[in-house]
Amino acid sequence: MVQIFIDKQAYEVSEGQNLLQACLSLKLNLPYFCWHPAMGSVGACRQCAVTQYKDEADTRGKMIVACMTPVEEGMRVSLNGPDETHFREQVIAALMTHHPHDCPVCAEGGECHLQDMTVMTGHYARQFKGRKTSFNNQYLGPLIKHEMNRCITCFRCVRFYRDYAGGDDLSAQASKNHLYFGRQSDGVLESEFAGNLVEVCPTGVFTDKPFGDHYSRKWDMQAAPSICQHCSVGCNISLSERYGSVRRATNRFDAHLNGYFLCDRGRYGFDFVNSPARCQQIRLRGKPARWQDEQLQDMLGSSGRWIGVGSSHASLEDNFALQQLVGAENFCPGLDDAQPALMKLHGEILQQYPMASLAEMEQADAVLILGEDINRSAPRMALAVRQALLNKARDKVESLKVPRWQDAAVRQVLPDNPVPLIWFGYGESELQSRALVQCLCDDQEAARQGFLLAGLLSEEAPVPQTGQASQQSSQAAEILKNARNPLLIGGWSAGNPALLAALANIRKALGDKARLAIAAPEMNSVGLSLLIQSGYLTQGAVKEALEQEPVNLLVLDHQSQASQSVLTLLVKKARQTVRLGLLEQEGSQDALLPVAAFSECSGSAINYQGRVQSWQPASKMTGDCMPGWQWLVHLARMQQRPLADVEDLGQLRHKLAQCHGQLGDVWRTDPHQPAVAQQPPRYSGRTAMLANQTVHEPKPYQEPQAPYRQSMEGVDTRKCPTRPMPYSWWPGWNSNQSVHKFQDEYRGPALPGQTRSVAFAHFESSCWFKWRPQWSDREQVGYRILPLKQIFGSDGLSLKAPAIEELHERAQLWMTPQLADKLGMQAGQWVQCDDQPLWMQAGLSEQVPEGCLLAYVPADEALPVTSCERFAVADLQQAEAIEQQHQGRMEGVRERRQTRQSWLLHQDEFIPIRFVEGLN
Amino acid sequence: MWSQLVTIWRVFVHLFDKKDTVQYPEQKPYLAPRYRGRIVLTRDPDGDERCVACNLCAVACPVDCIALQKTEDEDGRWRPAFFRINFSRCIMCGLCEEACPTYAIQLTPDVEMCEYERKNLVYEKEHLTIDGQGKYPGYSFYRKAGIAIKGKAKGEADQEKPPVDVRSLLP
Repeated sequence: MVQIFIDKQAYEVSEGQNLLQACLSLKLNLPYFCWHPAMGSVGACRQCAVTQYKDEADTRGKMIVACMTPVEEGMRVSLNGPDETHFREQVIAALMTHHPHDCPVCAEGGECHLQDMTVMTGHYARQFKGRKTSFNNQYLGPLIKHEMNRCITCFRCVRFYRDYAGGDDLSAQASKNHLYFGRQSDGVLESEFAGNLVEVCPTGVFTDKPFGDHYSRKWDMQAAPSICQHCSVGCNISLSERYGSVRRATNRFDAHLNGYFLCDRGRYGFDFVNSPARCQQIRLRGKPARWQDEQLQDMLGSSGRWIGVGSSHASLEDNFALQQLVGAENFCPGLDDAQPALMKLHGEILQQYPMASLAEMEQADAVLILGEDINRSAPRMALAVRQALLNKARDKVESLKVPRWQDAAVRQVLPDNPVPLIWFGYGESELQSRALVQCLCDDQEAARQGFLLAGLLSEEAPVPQTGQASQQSSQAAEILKNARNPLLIGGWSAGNPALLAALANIRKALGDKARLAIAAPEMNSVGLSLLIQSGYLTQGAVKEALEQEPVNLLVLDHQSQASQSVLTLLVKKARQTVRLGLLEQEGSQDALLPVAAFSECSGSAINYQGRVQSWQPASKMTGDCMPGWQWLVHLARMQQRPLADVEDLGQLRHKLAQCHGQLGDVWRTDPHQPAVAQQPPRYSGRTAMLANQTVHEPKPYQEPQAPYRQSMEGVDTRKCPTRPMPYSWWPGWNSNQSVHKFQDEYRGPALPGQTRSVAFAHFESSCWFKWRPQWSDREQVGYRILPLKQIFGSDGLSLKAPAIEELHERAQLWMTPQLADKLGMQAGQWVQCDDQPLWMQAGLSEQVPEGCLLAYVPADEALPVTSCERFAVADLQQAEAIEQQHQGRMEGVRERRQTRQSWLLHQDEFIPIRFVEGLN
Repeated sequence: MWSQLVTIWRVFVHLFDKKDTVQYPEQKPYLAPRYRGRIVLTRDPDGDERCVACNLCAVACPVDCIALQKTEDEDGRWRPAFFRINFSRCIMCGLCEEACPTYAIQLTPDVEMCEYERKNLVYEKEHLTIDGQGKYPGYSFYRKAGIAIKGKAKGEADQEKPPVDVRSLLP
């Protein structure tokens, strides 16, 4: 700690940071633009100017830029003297000379950093009499809207997009007053983190397009702390609602996980909750029904054996309720063939080693990625790994007596000081292209090399009988041995448990200095593995049971990929099927009970680390929707089963914690603490939004004992020391930058309410995993087909968001150019494998292992083979038909988007009456 | 005694004063254009809606009696999909008019708003919109704003240079 004097008052601040960071940590208001807590300083905007004095006697001082000045013991500065205040006002005045008169029609208005800073500096009247510069905008895809006139040239966008996230299709062009931030030509932004530009841009150059289509101001939206549902990282998001529909998801700062950024799947994928395909009505054999109908009651209450099929997309509570209702011996987790083994192994590894959080990943100085494309399966994790690649350069500049946060200096020395990234696997991706040591291999070979690598690191490690360590493995061993903080990453994507076992062995061989992370496929995969620790029904067993006796099936269906293929098979054979469904689906179920989406009810999930995270409802349920667990409790009452005594979520969670002691008091809240208001203090229109239906304003509805209230009544988000914030706001700081008012330091201690317990205690001592011959040498004919994922398209839920549906790619089959020559195929042709009906577009890539093909199949289609011999290439006519079909589909997507848009606008005027009266 | 006589005299003299009472509703008092009565939504000089659904009136309203939803039409203009004022809650304070950046929402000298049923005091956009420009003729927000709309491309607004050619080497 050092002592500095700001405006003659002494403050203690921690060393090694810059003055701007110190001032913001002290909660002083100092305007800034180009600085970002995650991106370091470049000193481009000169907005954070302050006066520094030599000593107590010095009265003149000199102007410095706070973000470029390290704090020093005894430093004297003033923030509020006349000189620096005037200077800062003039900086804004200069920035505003060309800023258009757009605020009323700008989607950033009301949460604009530029607005905040302008007010803060006191600049209010335009002095420039000349004409303003104008720019033409670009089309940047369905996610981001470009409005270049508003730019203040702070360079944050390119610094984030190129330097932080590694994209290369957005750049700064031209110079001086003509400076332009955009692409070479119109087109979709390629980076999977492009959505962050919306939050990174201090003004409205980049705005959220889907949100803009159904827009509301920040001050008008009821927000809720929520958890992203689209991969196992479980990033913290904030969902905002207005007039009964969810409008957008924004980043919610979390020191351990997402920090300041989200991936585009997380930011835009939530939109499935507004999909017209959402189940809204109870249905009985396809026809709308009511709960009181006798037929339905008979069906739901029928005796006999009930088998429950869970889902890794559903919350922990829903799955637990189902397990309790049918009994553990009748509970099937709803996974495909490969997943149970992975789940079991992942659970075992979680009990032996702690998993690295994303913040810990950013500290690594050597990274090994074993057979997993985290750019696609857990994109936010890939972004964290990218930041770790800077660590050597940061150390280097520090050794040259330049602070670590001098971003330009760090980037300067980066090429000569790379952090070694070791990549075993296949497929092209951003991280793969940055790997220092690369080994192109399929998952089996990667696992084998992983085992051999562990063998090189430790003599005790078991190694497979066959195979030799490749040159890359010995290089990797050398690097990992010398590293101080090696990071090991793997995952489920390849469907091979050997990869996880290999990683665990390398972790054991390296000892406690190494950190481990395993990406699971879906948001609650790890939660499901916790529930089935004491046993479960395998898919095979369910099939057997269905053949032997008449069985009723109870399915928790959240459209997870894994369960889809399984389900269709099982449903056919069951006596009757009750589906607790989120999205409409073809096929006949006997009864359908619509479940509430994550934006409408409270729930929890366990992320890849074993961290239990809960979300809160942002909006009210519509139609007949109810949370899954509530339907299950009703069923339990009808069938007189053990769950019948549960009254509310609190009791269910209590039961859950009793069954799984390690969950402990995750959900315990202090009943004496006041509830938090989800609506901001300036929420408008309360006495008019319902007036077309009734002029009698209803009493704000409130769930009993809920820690959050969907009204303005309750404490302000600033005054809830122990609960996660629904939204981030501070007087004078309307944008998301206000988060620093809640932090002690950048990525310092966690924010209030973010100390969550980890569901897997590391009680077991670590063990070596033995190589099993069945992990490789599988018999196969022809070419092996390896699964490839895409950021948009591999996740079935986010595919229901119209913007993402528009972006998702068609099925692809990648091969090496040599193989293509051999097979007589060309890039872009349409190919079928072994008479499978799916047409895939051929692509050429060097990153395909020998004897293999890489296949990307969208979540709504299937390719049920793992190898193939024969290929059929589409002739001209067929290709045209495929193209036409695709055109038709895209037409349909656009049409659906239009109808959805007008439907949403219509809904805004007719907020459901259940909402009005607060009945439930 | 004297003071009482003076008082009686003064009351008597008042009989010949001009009457303050107006025979309402047959006679109507003069209300200045700035008087704060019924709220209207005006149009710009070209006859288009002035309201851009920026929500500033709603947030300024102390009784929260204005609700609206923004939509963007094909011509690039922002418009309210619905715009509702609950006059049974309105206190005619005029803050919405002060907040409006486009002179769209204006208070008029019409104060005759009585209804037997409260729900008849809920005015929608079609009830609020008038055909004229109201008190502030000649102002068109989109002539000043930087966004492009149909009929006004980039660089065609007042005080704007034509769009920059990014590929030009000249500074």
